[in-house]
Amino acid sequence: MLGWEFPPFFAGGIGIVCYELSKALADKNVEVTYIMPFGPRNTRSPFLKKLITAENMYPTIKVHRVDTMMHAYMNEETYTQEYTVRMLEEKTSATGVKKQLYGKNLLQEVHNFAHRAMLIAEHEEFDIIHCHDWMTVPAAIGIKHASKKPLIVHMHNTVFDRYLQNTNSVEYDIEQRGLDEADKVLCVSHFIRNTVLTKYHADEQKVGVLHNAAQKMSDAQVAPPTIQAHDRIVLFAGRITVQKGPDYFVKASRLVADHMPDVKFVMAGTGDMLTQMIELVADLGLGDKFLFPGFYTRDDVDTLFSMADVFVMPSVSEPFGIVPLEAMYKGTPTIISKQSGCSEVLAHVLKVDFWDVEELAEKILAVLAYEELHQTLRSHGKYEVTQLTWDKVADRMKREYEQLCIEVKR
Amino acid sequence: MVSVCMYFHAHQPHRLKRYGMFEIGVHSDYFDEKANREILDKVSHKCYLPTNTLLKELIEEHKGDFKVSFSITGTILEQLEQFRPDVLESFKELARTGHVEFLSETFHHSLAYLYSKEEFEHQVALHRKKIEEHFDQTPVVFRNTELIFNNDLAIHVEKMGFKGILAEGADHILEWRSPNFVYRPASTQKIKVLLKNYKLSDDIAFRFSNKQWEEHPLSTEKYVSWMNSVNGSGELINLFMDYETFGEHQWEDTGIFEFLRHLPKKVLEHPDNRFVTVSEAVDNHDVRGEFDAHNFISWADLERDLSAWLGNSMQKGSIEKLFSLEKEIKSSGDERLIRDWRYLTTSDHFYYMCTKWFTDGDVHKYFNAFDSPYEGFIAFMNSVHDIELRLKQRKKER
Repeated sequence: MLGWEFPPFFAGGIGIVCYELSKALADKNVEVTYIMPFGPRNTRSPFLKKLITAENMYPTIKVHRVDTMMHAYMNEETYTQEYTVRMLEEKTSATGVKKQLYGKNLLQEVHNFAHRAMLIAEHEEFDIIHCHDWMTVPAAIGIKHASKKPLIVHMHNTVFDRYLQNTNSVEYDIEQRGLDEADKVLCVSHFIRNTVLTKYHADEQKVGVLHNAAQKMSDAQVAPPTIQAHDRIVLFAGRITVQKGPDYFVKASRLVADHMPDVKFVMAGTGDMLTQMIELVADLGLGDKFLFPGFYTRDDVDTLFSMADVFVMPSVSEPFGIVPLEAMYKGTPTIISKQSGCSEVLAHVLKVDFWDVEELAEKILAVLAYEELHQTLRSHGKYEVTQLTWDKVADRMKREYEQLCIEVKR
Repeated sequence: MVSVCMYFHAHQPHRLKRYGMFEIGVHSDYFDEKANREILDKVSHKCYLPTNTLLKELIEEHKGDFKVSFSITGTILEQLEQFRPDVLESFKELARTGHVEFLSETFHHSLAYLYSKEEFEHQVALHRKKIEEHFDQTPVVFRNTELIFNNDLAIHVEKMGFKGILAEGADHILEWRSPNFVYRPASTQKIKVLLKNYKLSDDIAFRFSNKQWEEHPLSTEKYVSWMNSVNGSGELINLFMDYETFGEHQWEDTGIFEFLRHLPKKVLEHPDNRFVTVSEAVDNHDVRGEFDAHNFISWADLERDLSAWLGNSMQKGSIEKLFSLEKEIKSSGDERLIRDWRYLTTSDHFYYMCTKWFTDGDVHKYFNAFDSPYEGFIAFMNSVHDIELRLKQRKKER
């Protein structure tokens, strides 16, 4: 398995998916050798301990860490930024020796990783190669050629989701190669499968859908810390980037505030649109109604969902979207865009087109105004996500593995 | 001797639009006239017209040995008056054959009995007037919405003067007994209850076109042989189903019309068989036992209870809210307001809010005017809130 670490901060779902899937597979006695990008950034991670514990708890998971600066959701720009900072740090610490370790750009680093991963794989026994997302594709292809073992490419998103309008030909080409070389492609939604078929012309026969599941969360309700008790709270949580549609959330908030007093809006997270959103909130005269708590950790998630009366994810592009599942797990009524991949598996949520600001406001108001709606979404939503278990995903995954092994023997 | 009693239920609700919260106080057009009309046209074309024509032919061909009963709601009759007088006329033609009987029920296909006895009786009276106006007969047998029934309802309906009432032949009440006899509802004096034979009814209504069903395809011969096997162990077979079964739920290409066309002849081939209307079934058969339904039963879903309409808190909350306005609405004297309020009592609105998708989901989804039960609830509640606003304005004006 070529996957990602459990993210140190709440940076996105792919790390969680890899972590939950590996654990669930381990429970089914599938031996997982896990090659994980692991860089200088991660040594500061508060989750380091947790990972090591997981490793010890599951003797069938064997983890190899590859020292690299690449991490999930990186692009050339963010890599260069981190690289520059890193180089400055190296200079001031005056060691200078490690400088050679990391690639000058992301593509080089991706190939460095591939090289190291192949060296590790040479000394390992395995039947299947399973990789997650484009950055691990060159490594996976290299291992496939060396070992002649079948390859599963797990698509969590595509270049069309990461860049919306502008594409990135380097990343596209790598994805294309991955899809061509794969013996089986698994997409996290029909939405992604559709992109894979229409934009990459992958062989329809080998492309399947494997929806993500919900992570078990604690049932404890955390008391709202600061906001006044009589205020109703509408929550946005995630990266504040164009993909997540934060501007639609702010615009809908204006309509909600016009119709209902004592409502507060929380936009948790950070991203390149944060400043723009703060300005938009000010322009719309919502300054006293909005809170921007910024970066939040996994532990904060519990608090955020517990204090929210409704969670909104108006994503423009959301290959799957694991946050609504977490919100529902915490019993928070949830509104998602119809364009989200998770909308394919969720019935007990409200759904809107991301661009329909008025409809979004209508639905937020309805959840706040009608107690019965709130109650039903809360109880049915929670029931629904507890049925979406990683155990079931792992069952399906195991069948796919077995099927591939049989096909290879023929 | 086996009597065969067929009754067809025809109904179309006034479906709601996705009436939004921002529309409250701006306008009060809650009902989706366009969709209602389109659906009425579609069902008229696929079901009502062809089936009415066929039934009339069969009644004439058998010179009255073939007869049927209808439960036809006030809300569909109103829509036919307005948009499809031709279809209404074809129902009237059926009535004029003298071999078609019309049942009594609530005008608005409502759950009024559960929330207001006064409104219930009023809607039954409204419906009687409508039936008398169009079909020149006065119903004597009562059928509550979706065959919702219990002992108290039977007692109530008996007092209203009906001689018969319909109910689902629910296994948990019948236990080892057969639905193919006439029973007396517990604690009643004279009224008789006719029980739906759900196996034979659903063979046509639900299973007819199901290719996974081991009896598929269902020929008239096979079906009538099952009916004949009742002879000796039963006296009356009640086949109750939605009229839309013919051509709408079971499409024409399933052979449903051919099935119906041959049914009377095949049934009557056996000298012991005959067709009866609901009041004939009541008159011709003696009571063979007691039917004791302490709790409510219905013909819906596997549970045969009220959970399809009142299973979750959205359904209960919204209907309670609606009926909490009853007195004020009625005393407002505003005809339009009263009309809109009554349209909202139609049970379909609550059916659309059903969330027990895990077992009966397919049926509910098929019949849902909304994308989800939540959408149905929001549109309904927004409409009720506008009604409340109109009520307040009306009070101010006075």
